[in-house]
Amino acid sequence: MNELLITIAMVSLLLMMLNLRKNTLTLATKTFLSALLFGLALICFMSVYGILGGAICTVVGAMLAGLLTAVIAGKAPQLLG
Amino acid sequence: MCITWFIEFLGVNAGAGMKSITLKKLFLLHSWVGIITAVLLFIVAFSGALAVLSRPELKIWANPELQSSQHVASAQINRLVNEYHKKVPSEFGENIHVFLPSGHNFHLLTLVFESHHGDENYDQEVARVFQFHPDTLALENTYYGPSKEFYANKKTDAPTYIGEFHADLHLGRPIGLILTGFLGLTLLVSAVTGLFIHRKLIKELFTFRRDKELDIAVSDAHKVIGIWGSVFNIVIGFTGSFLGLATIILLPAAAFVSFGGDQDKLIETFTAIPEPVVSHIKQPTKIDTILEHAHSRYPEAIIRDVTIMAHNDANAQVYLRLLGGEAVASQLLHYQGNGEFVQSMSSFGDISGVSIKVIELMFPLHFGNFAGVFVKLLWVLLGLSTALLPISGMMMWLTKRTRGSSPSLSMQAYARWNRFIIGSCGGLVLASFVLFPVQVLLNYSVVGVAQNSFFGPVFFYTWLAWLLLSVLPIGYKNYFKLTLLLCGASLALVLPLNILLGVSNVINLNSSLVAVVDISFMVVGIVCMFVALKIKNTQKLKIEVQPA
Repeated sequence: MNELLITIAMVSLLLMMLNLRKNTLTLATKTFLSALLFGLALICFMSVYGILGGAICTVVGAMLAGLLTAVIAGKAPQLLG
Repeated sequence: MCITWFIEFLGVNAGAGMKSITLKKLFLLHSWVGIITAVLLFIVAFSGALAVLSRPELKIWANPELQSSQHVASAQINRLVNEYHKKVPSEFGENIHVFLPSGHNFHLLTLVFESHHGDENYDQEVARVFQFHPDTLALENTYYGPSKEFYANKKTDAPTYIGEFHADLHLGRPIGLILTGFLGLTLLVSAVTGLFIHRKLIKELFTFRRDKELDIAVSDAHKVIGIWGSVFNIVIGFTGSFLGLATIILLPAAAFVSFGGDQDKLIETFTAIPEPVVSHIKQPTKIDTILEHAHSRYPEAIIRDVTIMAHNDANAQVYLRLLGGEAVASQLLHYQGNGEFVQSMSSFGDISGVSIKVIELMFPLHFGNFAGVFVKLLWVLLGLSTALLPISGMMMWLTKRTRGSSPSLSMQAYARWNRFIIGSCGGLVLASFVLFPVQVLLNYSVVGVAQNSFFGPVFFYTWLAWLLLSVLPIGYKNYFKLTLLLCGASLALVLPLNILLGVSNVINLNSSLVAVVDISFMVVGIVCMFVALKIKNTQKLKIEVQPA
């Protein structure tokens, strides 16, 4: 169960980063989706590691997800430019 | 608010001209701090990333005794403590430490019977120690002598050696601790100044142009790693400097301010385990009941060690040190000798206040050991990215000086600098990786504490030899390629060596942890060799750039 929750949390954070990277969405949509995915990751991590541990893991996981997205996917194509 | 104050303090808001001057100053500070400390920062960050996994995962991998079992039944521990307490003089029952074979302390189940006031042979704290195999509980080793000597000469292994290298660079204390603490401060300065001088934080969150030239890719990598890892780097820098400087500078300073310079008084105030009053009324200490209660109360936590004060006395007190579970910081559980639970407190004792909570959090935030392996892997990956920051920064600084109509750095000097970076930083990676196959060989051929004398020479001579090689006028790309190949080969060698010589391996699957670690080493080794083979050598490059 814990492994599943951790996987869901990390996938949510990676999706959040891809959503942030996407430049075809409006700011409101980006903010809403990002908050939703971040919240989901936070809940999953908190159910595994407790409140404080979960919060720390979410922040650190988001940092790693952002770094991986940047290194693997790079900048989004400038469709609107 | 703090950041606004800092910006105002620096004068960033005081007009465009002033802002430009301040940013230039910050850029200079960032560059020079980075250049001066780059190699040392890489050394500390890389060894730190490895050290995250050193206890218990790699320690269990390195010690065959721990591979078979890390759990000893509570009843057996109770039996052994009672049995061996009868074999030592009464003064040694004042203070009994039980170090469980969890992979955090010793490689064997260790009972330490201590007399704080010495005995007929010693005027100092003296110990009688019995060490047992965690699986068979056979007596493996005994010791009688000063406590300090026992702890100083305990058996080490490759991962512990790397972990200790991260703490004080094996320079001894206080010099090593001051140096690593100071490097934590420089990481903090570099991370904060980096955020200020990089003005397109949001815009360049995902800018990584790996298809462009190497210098552009390196510059992008430096910025992306710096931005995404900023919070981690600030936390690691701050906690690292605290851990390094706390006992050397902060403790005497706190004692000077609050205790009139009396450091012993300060330590006494912050010591969670006070001396009990011995009643001399016999009452069995229920160690097994206490251990079972702790296991059921915190099923996810690991009990690292048990301290029993006034064993089998009516006033006996038992303290259990726990790691993990739901609590982020390590816990100290206090029990009465009759098994009654008293309280759970921090390792600093039952002290209230926000500052003590913050200090408590520093340890798990630095080590990443408050939860399972997944959290540790996050710390390892971000730690490795921290190690890449000074290297990429230095490469940017060097490349910049070779450009333009009048470059300040000749191509020869540029090549020499690159060789120095590869020799010092790549040499450290190679020296660390070589220790793992050496550990398998030592487990096969050398028994117990005698292994300790091998790690230092192997580590430092490998590093020195690789650094000295950088003096030779060889192409730095070939040098880098060779370094990566040897690093990969060292790691890939672990799995076949363990199959041939190890007690547990991927064939017999005696320990799943050993199998996972061996396969991980093999994968990382193959990736290193694959990347190395992708690098075009210097000779070919020279031919490519020659005009037709």
